[in-house]
Amino acid sequence: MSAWSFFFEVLVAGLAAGIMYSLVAIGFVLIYKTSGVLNFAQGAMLLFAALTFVSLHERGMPFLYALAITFLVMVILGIAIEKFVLRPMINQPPITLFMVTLGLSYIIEGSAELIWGTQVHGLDLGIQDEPMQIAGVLVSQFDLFCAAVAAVMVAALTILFRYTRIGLSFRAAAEDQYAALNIGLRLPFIWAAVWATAGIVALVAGLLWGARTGVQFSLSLVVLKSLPVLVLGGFDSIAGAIIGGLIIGATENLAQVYLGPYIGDGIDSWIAYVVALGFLLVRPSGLFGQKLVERV
Amino acid sequence: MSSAILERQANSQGLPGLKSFRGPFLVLLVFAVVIPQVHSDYLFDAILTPFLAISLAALGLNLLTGYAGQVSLGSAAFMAVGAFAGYNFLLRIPGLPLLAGLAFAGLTAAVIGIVFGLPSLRLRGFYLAVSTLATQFFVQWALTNISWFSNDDTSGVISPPPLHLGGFALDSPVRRYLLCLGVVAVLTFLAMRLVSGQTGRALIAVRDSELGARVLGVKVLRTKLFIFAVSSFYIGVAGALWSFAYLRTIEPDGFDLDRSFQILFVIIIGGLASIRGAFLGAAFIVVLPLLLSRAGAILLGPGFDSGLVDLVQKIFLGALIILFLRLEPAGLSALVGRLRIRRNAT
Amino acid sequence: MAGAAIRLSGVTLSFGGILALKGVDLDIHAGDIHAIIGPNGAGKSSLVNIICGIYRPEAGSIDFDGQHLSRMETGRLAKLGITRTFQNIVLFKGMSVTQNVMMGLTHKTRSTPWGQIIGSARARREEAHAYEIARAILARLDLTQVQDRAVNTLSYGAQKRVELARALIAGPRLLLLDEPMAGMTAGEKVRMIAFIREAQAHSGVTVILIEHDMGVVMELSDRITVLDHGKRIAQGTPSEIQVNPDVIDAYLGVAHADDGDDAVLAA
Repeated sequence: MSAWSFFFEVLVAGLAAGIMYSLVAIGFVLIYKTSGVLNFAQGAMLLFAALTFVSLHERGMPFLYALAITFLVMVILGIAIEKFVLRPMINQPPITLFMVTLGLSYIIEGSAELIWGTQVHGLDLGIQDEPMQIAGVLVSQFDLFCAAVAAVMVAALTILFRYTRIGLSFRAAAEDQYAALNIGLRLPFIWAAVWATAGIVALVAGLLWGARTGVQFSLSLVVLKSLPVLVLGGFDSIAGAIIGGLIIGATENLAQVYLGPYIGDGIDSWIAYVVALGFLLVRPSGLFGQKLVERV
Repeated sequence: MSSAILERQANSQGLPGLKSFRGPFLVLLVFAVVIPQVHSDYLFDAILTPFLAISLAALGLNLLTGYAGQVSLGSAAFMAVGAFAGYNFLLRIPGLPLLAGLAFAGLTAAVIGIVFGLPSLRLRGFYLAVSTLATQFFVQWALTNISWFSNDDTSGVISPPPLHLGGFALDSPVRRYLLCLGVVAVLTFLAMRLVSGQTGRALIAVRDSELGARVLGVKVLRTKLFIFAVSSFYIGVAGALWSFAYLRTIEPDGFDLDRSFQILFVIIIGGLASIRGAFLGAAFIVVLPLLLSRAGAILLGPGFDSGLVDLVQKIFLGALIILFLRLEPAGLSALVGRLRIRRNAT
Repeated sequence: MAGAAIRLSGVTLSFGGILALKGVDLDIHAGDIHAIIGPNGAGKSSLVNIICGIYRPEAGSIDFDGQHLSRMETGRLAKLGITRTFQNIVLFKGMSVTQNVMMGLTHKTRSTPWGQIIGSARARREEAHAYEIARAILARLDLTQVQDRAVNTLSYGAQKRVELARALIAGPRLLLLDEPMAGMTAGEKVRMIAFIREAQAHSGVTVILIEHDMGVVMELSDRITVLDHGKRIAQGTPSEIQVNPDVIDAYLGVAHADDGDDAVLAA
């Protein structure tokens, strides 16, 4: 194999991994954009969703039923978190809310494992994972499927934000909470809807990640992979989450393959952070994030 | 509300003002003289020594996060730096006194703290918090992968040298406890002095309004780097004590992200920007699992699943974090403060 | 310490293509109370933020006390003897009133952190001195009763006074007051006017005052600069400004008819 086609394979595999990070990052962006909360519990929600689905399915429930019930559970969980945990803390500084979601992730992770047990589950979504040859480069079918799901999700969210009434309210709330209140938007309703949506996004990401790595506790750690993506893409941009994910995924994989032999194994634990940080120091609000102007 | 309570509230957010050191000194006396009379290795090895190390780490983090408002999710990395630096200094410089080794451990952590604190000059809030994760992962990786740090030991678990203080072997649980107590007491006293003066006010000013601080002539960048260094020093020494006196092994694995979160939780529960809070929170975090497993044993019989207790503890801890942030952001420290005022009033 | 003169020449500033200040000249005499007025969005706060080094002007220069500067640096303000209060109160809520005011002496601190920890003679002297004059200035501003309270438990008007105390403690040469009366009751305003007057008379400090309440402006100021749409449209004594046709146009003209609280020029 030529050096170039090997390079492209590494690159494509990296991009595919990047899409997986983006899927998680999108859940963060949704909530951050509309309520200014960086929801560390997104990873725990993802674990909760995947574990709930796989446990129901393993207990004999048909695929679609299990999916529907998990869907409902995630919507309810999202709404409950917003209503009982975050709403009472409105007007607290963002960093306090961040620490609240840290506590939340402990509760959700603990509960998920308490309810469904701590063993590792396999998850088969019925998707072939045989590599395909595209333009001389081997590509995993499963990766293509994930990319397609991500594309559909981004399209759906874009339509939701751009063309529906509720999407307009989301955007208004994101622009200016006071103004949104003044023109009579019901912010609590919007927030609840956003958290429910984030629950659904967690479900989608959880199923894909679960199918790839197995459903187990470490799923909630994907949150750590998506944070550099957010830093790179900006906390409030869906496009940024996608592009940030692709950049992070690609650099991570390339670094691992080409630099790994020289500096050691396992550099993927931090290389993404270094890339994101280096970038941040040049552009403190990310690729697509809004520049914050300090008002005096 | 009487002005005494309000003053207490102001202080609980940060500054002890000109209050005397009598209370803390009495507590120290109890810990140094009375408690060592107890004959229980378990008490010292499993409770008090880790309690002191965690307290010191939390104190360090509280200087950075509670006082200066710079949230760090990488405390465990600085503990690891302290532990490995202490190990290497004592190993490679024959005859280096233990206390000097600890000081070098702290200084090494302080240097690393300044390096990884540099992003704080440009980043705030979440961005800074995320950037501290880089510290966490990078340090853990470096200590695992660069074998020089562990003296090319392949087992991954290395033992600290025997501890001596002067000609005095620290070979019993009580003695190791007393070493920790001495170090922690001195560093705590210095921290109390630090936060009660002009520098302490400057830290809080940077936290509460960077712009306001800058306009008044606070050198914001220098202040941030300074407190990153001091905080890392404390956390580094704590890591060395944790490894040398409590675990008696040195390994990167124990200093993972969960440990960083644990230290953060200690200061949230104990009270942000409170010296006392670091100790109260640490006591709580150390004692909680013991209480829960006792409770588990009583409720579920002796054959209960310890994994279950871990999960319950996790949920419990998460819930406590949320409750404290919501109902008592000033933590246990404020609760204790209020109790004392009530007692004084009656 | 006597007040300092400050002169801005041809200062221009824009945000994303929108000109906030267009070649503004400002000439403030030492020891004056000089008000800057104008409708909302006229550029008053931008001007103050340029003087404070928070914004960097695209063109123009600043002469402060004989020094020629292309821009100010926020970190050097205190050393130059420039202090300010903020439109939205900027106090350190984790500190008591006295501690907040002591922060006003930050730039005079010579002791090192280590000196403060071990209690060096200099550190103790500085701390005692700061404490003492903070108490004194709090007494002058009638804040003795609340001096040990957490600053965020004070009423809005009292917090404004704490800010003033913090700005005054180091004996500034130029004091910027950004809407010091905003949100105050009539009674509080009367007291605030007295405090500003007293501070000015006490030290001869130059005062730049941004204020919407024309009654206050006319009563306090020695001179007034009027801005509109980022341009200086008038400068003069209160009595000159009151009859200046451009000023009356700017305030009562169609373009600004919505600025209700500004239209009290006649008051």
